[in-house]
Amino acid sequence: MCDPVTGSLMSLGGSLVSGVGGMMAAGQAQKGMQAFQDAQNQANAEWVAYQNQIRRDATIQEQQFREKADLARNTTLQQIAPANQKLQQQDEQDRLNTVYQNPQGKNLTTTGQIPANYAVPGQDTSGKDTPFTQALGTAVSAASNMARQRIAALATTNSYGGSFGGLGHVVPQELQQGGNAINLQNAERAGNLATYQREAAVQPLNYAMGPGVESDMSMAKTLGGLAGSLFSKGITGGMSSGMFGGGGAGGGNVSVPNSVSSSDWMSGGLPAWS
Amino acid sequence: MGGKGGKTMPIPENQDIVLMQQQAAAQAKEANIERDARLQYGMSQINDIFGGHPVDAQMLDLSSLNAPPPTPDLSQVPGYSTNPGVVAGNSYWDQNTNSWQPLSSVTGHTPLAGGYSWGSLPDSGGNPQWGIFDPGGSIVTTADQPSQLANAQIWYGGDPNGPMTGGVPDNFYSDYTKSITDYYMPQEQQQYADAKSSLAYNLARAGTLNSSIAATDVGKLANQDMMNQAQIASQADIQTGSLRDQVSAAQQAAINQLYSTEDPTVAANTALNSIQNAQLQVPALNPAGAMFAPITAGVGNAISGFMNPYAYVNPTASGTSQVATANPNYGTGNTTAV
Repeated sequence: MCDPVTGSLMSLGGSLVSGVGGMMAAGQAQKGMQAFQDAQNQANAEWVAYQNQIRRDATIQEQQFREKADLARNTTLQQIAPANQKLQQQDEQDRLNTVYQNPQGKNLTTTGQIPANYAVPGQDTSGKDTPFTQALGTAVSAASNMARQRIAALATTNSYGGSFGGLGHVVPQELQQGGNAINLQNAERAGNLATYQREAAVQPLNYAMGPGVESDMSMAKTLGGLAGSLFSKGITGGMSSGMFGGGGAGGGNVSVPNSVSSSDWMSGGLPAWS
Repeated sequence: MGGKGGKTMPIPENQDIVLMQQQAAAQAKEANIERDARLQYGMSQINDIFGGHPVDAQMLDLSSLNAPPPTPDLSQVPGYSTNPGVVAGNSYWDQNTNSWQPLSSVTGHTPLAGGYSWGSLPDSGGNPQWGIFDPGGSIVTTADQPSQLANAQIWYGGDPNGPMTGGVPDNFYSDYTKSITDYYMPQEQQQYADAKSSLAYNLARAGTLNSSIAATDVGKLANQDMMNQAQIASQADIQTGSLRDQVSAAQQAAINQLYSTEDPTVAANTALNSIQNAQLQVPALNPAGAMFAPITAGVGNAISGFMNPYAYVNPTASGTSQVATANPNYGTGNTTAV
C-alpha cells in the first residue's frame, strides 16, 4: 500500500495517460468519420450527377422521337387535308375518265365520230348525205354524248371510293404509312424509356466505416471512461476531505455547491470552479 | 493503434452490386441501340421490297465480310502490353469502367464502300455482336457473325425523290387490270355482235333496216356497248384497287412481324412471300351475264305489219281502193319511216 498522496498522484497520472490516449483515439476516429462522410458525400454527388445526366439524355432522346413522330403525323395530316384530297380526287377522276372512255385503246371520242362503226349488218352507210346516214350519225352522236356523260359520272363516283387511286384506297394507305412512321418512333421511345429505367435503377455506392474507425471510437470511449474513473478515484481516495468542501461525484458529473444560494446565481456571485 | 493504414478508409459495402447494375444498364443501353438499328433496317428493307429504291442507288458491297476479319492492332488496347489476358475474342477488359468493351472501340472499324464500316459492337449481354456503321457512325444492322452480316442488303446514295426501281413491278397492277379486261371484253364484243345481228334481223324483218328508227336503235345499242365497256374497265380498276389494298396489307403484316421479332430477316422473308402471294392473286372472273338489253325495235313494226290487212297484196280482192295495192318497198328494208 502506498500513502494516499502517492496513490492520488498515481491515479492522476494514470488518468492523464488514459485521457491523452482517449483524445488521440478520438481524433483518429474523428478523422475516419470525416473520411467516411466525404466518401459517402462524393458517392452521392456522383450518383446525383449520373442520374441528372441519364435523365437529361433520356429526355433529349424522348424529344427527338416525339418530334419525328410529330413530323410524320403532320405529313400525314397534310396529305389527307381536304384540299389535297380534292386534288387527288380530281386527278383520279381524270385518269378514270380517260381509262373508261378508252377501253383497250378504243377511244369513244374517235369511234363515236364514225357512225358506220356502229351500223348493224345490212345497213347502207355508203352514202354520206342520205337521210339514213344522217339519222344514224345523229343517233350515234347522241348515244356517245350520253355515254360520255354517264362515264364521266361513273369516273367521278369511283374516284371518291374504290378505284385504284380512289380516296377509298389512298387515304387509308396514307394514314397507314403515317401510323407506321409514328409506331416506329413509339417503339424506339419505349425502348429508350426502358433503358432509362434500367439506368436509373443503379444505386449509389453505400460506404461503411472502416474497422479501424470503429475500434478507434471504441478505444476512445474506453480510455475516456478509464480516465474519468481514475480521476474520480484519486479525488475520493487521496483527498477525502474534499477539494471543494462538499465532495464530488465521479465520472465528470458536477453538482452545484451546497453553499450557493439562488441569490448567488442571480447576483453572479458564484464561486470559482477551479 | 487502430486507424492506421487502410483500416480507417471507408469501404463501399455495395460496390459489387453497383458494378453489376452499371454493367447491366450499359448492356441494356447497347441492346436498345442495336434493337433500334434492327427496327430501322427492317423497315427500310420492307419499304425497299414493296416500294423499291432510287435507280441510281448502289448496293453496299459486303463480300469482304465473308473473309476472316483483319487482325486488330492489339498494342492499342490499354494494358495489353503488360497483360495480354485483357483481350478475349473481340472484346477487351476496360479497367476504367470495369467492363468488357469491343476491340473495335480502340482499334477502329473496318472500312467499307461509301463511308460505311463494320466492326464488333459493345457488350449487350448476349453473344458478341457485329455491326455495320453508316458514315455517321450509327449502327445500320447487327448480326452474330460477320458472315451473317454479309447477307445484309443496304442501298446507299441515289436521289430518293427521283425515279425508283425494284419493289412492286411497274406492270404488276396493269397486267392484273389487263387480264380482267382481256377476259370480259371479248365476251362483251361477242354479245354486242349478237345484239347487232339480232337487231339487224328484227329491223330487216320489219322492213326498217335503213330507217330512222333503225338509226335510233343502233344508237341505243352503241350506248349500251360504250357503257358496258366502261363498266368492265371500271370493275377491272376496282379489283386492281383491291389488289393494291392486299399488297398494302401484306406490307403491314411484314411490319407487324418485324415488331414481333425485331428480326429484319424474318420480316423481309415475310414481305417477299407476301409479294409472291400477291402475284399469285387471281382476279374474280365470273362469266358475264347478258350485258345487252334486248332491243325490241322493229318488232312492233313487224307485228303491226303482219296485222295490217292493207299491207298484203290480195289478188282476189275486188275493191277499188288503191290502198289494196301492195307497197313494193315493204319487206325490202328500204323504207325510211320518217
